[in-house]
Amino acid sequence: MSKRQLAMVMDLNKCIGCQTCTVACKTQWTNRNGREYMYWNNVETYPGTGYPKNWMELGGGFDAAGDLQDGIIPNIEADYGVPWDYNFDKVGAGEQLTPNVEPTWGPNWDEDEGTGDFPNDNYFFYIPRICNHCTNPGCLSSCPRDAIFKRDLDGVVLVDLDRCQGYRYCIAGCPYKKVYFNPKLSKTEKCIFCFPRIEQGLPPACAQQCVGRIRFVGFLDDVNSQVHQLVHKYKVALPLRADRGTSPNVYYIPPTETPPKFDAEGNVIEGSNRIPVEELEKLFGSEVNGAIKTLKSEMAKRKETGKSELMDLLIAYSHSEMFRLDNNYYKKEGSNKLAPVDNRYLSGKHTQRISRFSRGN
Amino acid sequence: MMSNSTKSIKKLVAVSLAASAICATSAFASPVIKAYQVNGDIKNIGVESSSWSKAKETEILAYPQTTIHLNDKKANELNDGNKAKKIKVKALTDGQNIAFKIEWADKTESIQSGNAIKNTEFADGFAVQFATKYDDPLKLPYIGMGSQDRPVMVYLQKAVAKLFEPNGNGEVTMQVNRANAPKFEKDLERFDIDVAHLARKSYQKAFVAEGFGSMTEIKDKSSDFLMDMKFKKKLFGGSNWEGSVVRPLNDTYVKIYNDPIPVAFAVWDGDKMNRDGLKHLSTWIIVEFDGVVSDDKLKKEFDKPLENANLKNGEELTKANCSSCHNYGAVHEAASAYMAPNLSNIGGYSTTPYLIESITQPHNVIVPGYNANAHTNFAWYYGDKESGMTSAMPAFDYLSEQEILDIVGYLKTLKAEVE
Repeated sequence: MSKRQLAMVMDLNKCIGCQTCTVACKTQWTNRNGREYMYWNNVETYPGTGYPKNWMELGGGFDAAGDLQDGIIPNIEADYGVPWDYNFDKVGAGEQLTPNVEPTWGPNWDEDEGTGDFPNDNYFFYIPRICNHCTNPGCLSSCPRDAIFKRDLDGVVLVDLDRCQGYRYCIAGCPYKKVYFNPKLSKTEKCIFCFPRIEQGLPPACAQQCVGRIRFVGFLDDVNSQVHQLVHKYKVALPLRADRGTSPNVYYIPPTETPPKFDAEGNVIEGSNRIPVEELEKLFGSEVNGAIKTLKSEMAKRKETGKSELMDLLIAYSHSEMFRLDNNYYKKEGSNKLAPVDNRYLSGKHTQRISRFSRGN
Repeated sequence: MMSNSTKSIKKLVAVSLAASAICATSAFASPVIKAYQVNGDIKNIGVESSSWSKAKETEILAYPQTTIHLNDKKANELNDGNKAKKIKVKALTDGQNIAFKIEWADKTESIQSGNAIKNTEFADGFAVQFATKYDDPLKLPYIGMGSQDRPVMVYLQKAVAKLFEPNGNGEVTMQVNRANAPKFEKDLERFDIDVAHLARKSYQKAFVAEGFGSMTEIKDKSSDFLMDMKFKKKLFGGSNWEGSVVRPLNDTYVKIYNDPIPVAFAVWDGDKMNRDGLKHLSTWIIVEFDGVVSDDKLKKEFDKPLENANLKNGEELTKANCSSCHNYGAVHEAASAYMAPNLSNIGGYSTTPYLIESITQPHNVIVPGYNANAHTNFAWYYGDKESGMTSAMPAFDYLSEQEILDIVGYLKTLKAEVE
């Protein structure tokens, strides 16, 4: 357990699947040197295969007894998708627009497909996913090199690239498949919660760029942070697949707002909801029912009285309130100069003390 | 208490030495590698050197590592039921350096290419391990990466293509965004020259280790060594890897004189997704210098014959005393597979003194660094390096010497068949 834990809340009612977060992350961290296939942040359509393909069926995480479960390492060609590019520069000279690799799979191959009978009861929603910076990380637990650590300062989970020998057990151990192997460096890399930005008081790039303002960032123990209020006060933000036993620290407001279903004659079925609650229970556990109830009642309250603190939070009026990084928390910890790109995540500027692993509670 | 058990070990050794004196030939006798003297410098020797013809080879066995469970499902399936591998070893010395050449069968040449879309490639490889302290043959380091206060030095080479990284310098900081190539043509050219310079050799590294996860690369050039590996198709079918390592007889880490030394070998099969603990490893093997007659304690006491061990009784005693925590062979009686080290191949890669010490003084043979977070209910030891560590296993020092010998004799039979 780290001293404090940074967390992110994502409001799935407002995610429009525009992938701006994906691009913000990609251009910042993963557009070169063997990281081309990696999406530290991705947005996937649910129901769908996800990224990598069928990640929920690839094992990892812990069982109820707390034992690490075996997992499978996905393959770039079959499961992540080989990135391809087009010959844009040659099209002007009369060439046909062609991809440089035959596209057979990609991170969003089944985007917007969803499930159900169109137009009567079909549905889908988006799930943006980053590393969950778990309190009990499966990746850390499966590393035989002691190369993965959790920063005491904020609970961010990082890979010590110097210790990493590219064994890839961490990928098998992560139930979210959010650790990636860099074949060019033969080392593992993952979402770093943009800690060089965080240390400067800036939110992660994905959260900063989100056009729907669906992402809240803050410390879980900071009662004034909106993250704390959504997770602990209103209990409307829930972790994804908490049943995998890693205590993830990215929380989701479940999607409650969908159009109603149509009957056989094409008439609206009043009060119906296209997203089956069983699907949400699968993702977020039975707690999702309480969260939906709170969200619905607060929405009704807002409609009737014009007042609801929760609805005001979810409207996300200003970035300054959504991102509460406890200003100066990091700066108090030491001098704070920004290193050149790519050097800076080798070792955290403020990574003085690290918890290698804890024996549970 | 401690002195008592030390005494009992000493007595044990005396007993078994007497036993070994009675039985000249023994089913438990370990092979001995001879290092042959050659004239001329072998500092830059590789697998192709003609000097190897001066050495006779010794066949040793490497057993599949099954003590620790690793969590890669596919790899575990591929390695389930692995048999022991034969490794042929030769050794040379020129008075300044010592060199080993090993040869083992492998059907496929698996090279980690560094291709940016190949993330499930694993490399074939081999390692040679030295004990940094070996004067007390009863207290050699744990065979897999050493143990507390008993460090090992490991030379590792993997069949990795020459790449920017991994390379000899472990340089990961210098990277260039090639997408910006038009802007930085000169810079890029310079970068490529640097890459070619840094990637001058394939993956060959020297490490020190003192327990799981503690393996740390020696980067300060304080270790002088050279490795080589080549894949060879044989004339009449089959294929082999040949690997060699040469190091000075004496360096900061290991001092080798004329006396016998313990060495261990490990090989990885990339085709079976081998890496890290998924490997075949030998027990400590004695290397002695050709023509040097020494009355060496190591050679005499090492892996003593256990001819007077009653294996049947040993099996019963193991069942009664060990099986409630340890799994071994086809026997799965422990509360959980994660409860304690699996003993299925313990006879293949453990020495007799190690097994005796493990039973009578488990606190002395703790291997630190086992990732306890993976199985929180089953700590293998308590405490840490600073405060001192206690094994979760109680000392079975109340067993009689004969009973311990019986158990050890039985444990020595626990190993996979030879391929």
